[in-house]
Amino acid sequence: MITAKLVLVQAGLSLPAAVLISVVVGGLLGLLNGVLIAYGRVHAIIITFGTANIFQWISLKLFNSTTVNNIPDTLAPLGNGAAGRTLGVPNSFLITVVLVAIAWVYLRHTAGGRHFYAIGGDQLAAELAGVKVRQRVLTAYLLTGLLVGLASCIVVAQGSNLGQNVGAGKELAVIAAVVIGGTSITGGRGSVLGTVLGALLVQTVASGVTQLGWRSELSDLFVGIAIIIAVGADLIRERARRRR
Amino acid sequence: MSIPTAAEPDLTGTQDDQSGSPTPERAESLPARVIRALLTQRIVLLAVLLVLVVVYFMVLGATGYLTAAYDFDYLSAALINAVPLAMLGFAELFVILSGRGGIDLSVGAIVSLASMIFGFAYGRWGWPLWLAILATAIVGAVLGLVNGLLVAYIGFPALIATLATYYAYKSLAVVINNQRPISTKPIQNLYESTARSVELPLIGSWIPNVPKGIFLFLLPTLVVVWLLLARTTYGRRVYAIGTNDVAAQWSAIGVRATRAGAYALSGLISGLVAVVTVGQFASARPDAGVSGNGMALPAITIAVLGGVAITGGIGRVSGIVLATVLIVWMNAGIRLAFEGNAGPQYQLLALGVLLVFAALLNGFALRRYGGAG
Repeated sequence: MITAKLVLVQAGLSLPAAVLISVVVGGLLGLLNGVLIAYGRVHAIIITFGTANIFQWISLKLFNSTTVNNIPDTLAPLGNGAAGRTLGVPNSFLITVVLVAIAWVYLRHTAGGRHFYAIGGDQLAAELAGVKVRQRVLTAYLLTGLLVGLASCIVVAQGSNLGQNVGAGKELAVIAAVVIGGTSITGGRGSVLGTVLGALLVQTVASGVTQLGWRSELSDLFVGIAIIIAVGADLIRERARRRR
Repeated sequence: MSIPTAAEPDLTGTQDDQSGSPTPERAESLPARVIRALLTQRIVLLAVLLVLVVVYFMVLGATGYLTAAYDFDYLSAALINAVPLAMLGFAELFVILSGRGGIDLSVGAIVSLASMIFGFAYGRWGWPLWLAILATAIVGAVLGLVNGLLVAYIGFPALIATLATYYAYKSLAVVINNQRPISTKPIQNLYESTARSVELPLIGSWIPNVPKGIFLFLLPTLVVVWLLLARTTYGRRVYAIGTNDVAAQWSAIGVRATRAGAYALSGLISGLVAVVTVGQFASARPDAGVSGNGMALPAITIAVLGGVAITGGIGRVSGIVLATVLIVWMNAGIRLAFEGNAGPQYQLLALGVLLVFAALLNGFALRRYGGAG
């Protein structure tokens, strides 16, 4: 839920350095969220609303609230152009595929990944079973920050310029994708594959509405309805299962 | 996703320590008592902060640092910003009080959509003002009721349901008039009759002029909300279901209807806010409630800052009012302290810091003393 526009990739650095810096910065901001949530023991929504404002302020300060126009060529391998493709497939897509694989292995087949499910399922039980709950929660937010840092590189590389509110509104779309993908908002349930499909669905709905020649604003309406149907079906199924 | 905190079986959050638990802290020293009051009585803390903020900016103003005078006239004029904020704070109050992770992300989108409806009714179709306001409020209530039905009857997590309706309403508001605002003659005249500052009768010559919106919208809403929460069975039921769902169910409270009602009330208030914002902008804008960071985030900030426990069941009207005034006057000061668009940026920072601080404080007070008032 970090809106921070990690647009620190500018600076005309070489590609690896720029990506590294932005991932590290993302990680640090995520770590801050994690510390506040895990050790301050307050509601994640509230804390991230608050830090979103603070991060936004930092990014406005850094760029003097101007729009950055010249995206350096060093980022082209991540962009939309010919340089951004390997065998005709966009590199950013390849990165996503690799990340999906890593995330799937991590969440399915490692102890650390299973701990997340355990904590989400029943925090107390996880604690009693020897899971270091705070540390794992902290890690979750750290990972979020790192991934946002990486995502911001791709966002920057794909745009032609960089406004101040490049990240605004993204958090809602992302939550929508995750929830449509079957992740339980109360924690403990969800899958990598579902999230990928959810993201694809959200994007497909948005493109579909534009392709049909409808007003692009209508796509939000359908995303909203998709959320209600996806979650509603889940809830009704759950209730039917419990009644049996 | 969240770290659950111990739910306190304190129905009102105002429980007084003397009558409370038999703790060995009877012989507290004065400083300890002051700290306790600051931490557990949110009203006290807010009042202290408010005085600090006003005095600080007045001193800055006296030394000529600010770009304009930070005097009572300015403070009073700034209060017009408090009208929508405080009212949406009340909307969130109902929803958050009702518990089970209650939160309403869609208030801003309801304001947008209801603004457009009001624009059509009053600005295009020429309905009489009272009928247009009534229709807008009803539309708001219906939109809120959709949230309520999803959350209370189907069992959606409030965050998801209101996120989805936020999208839907926002999109409808934009599409309904092809993205164009409505600013016909009657709408433009609305500024004059609802938002302008007026001199009060009788005592008006001694105190600064006050924006009309305070009397036309904020005070009536304030009184009704307070009466509803503190003096009616419905209000007590909201506290009861927020404190303990199951216990309320066993006490024969219609938990679902009560909870759905809280969301409908939130929508109703948002509908009224739509009328206020149309008057303030002198135009019905399709993005009235969702532009920038939107209206939901400030409203939730105010509720949390005002001492409403995000876990439900604890929170008071007075906290919301003080928190609103604090934020509005602080923003007003910040606007004078920086030139150009640095001001709004610092307002963002201040809002964020306050929210994090308030949330940490709520959690700390709950653990240290049990129950933040």
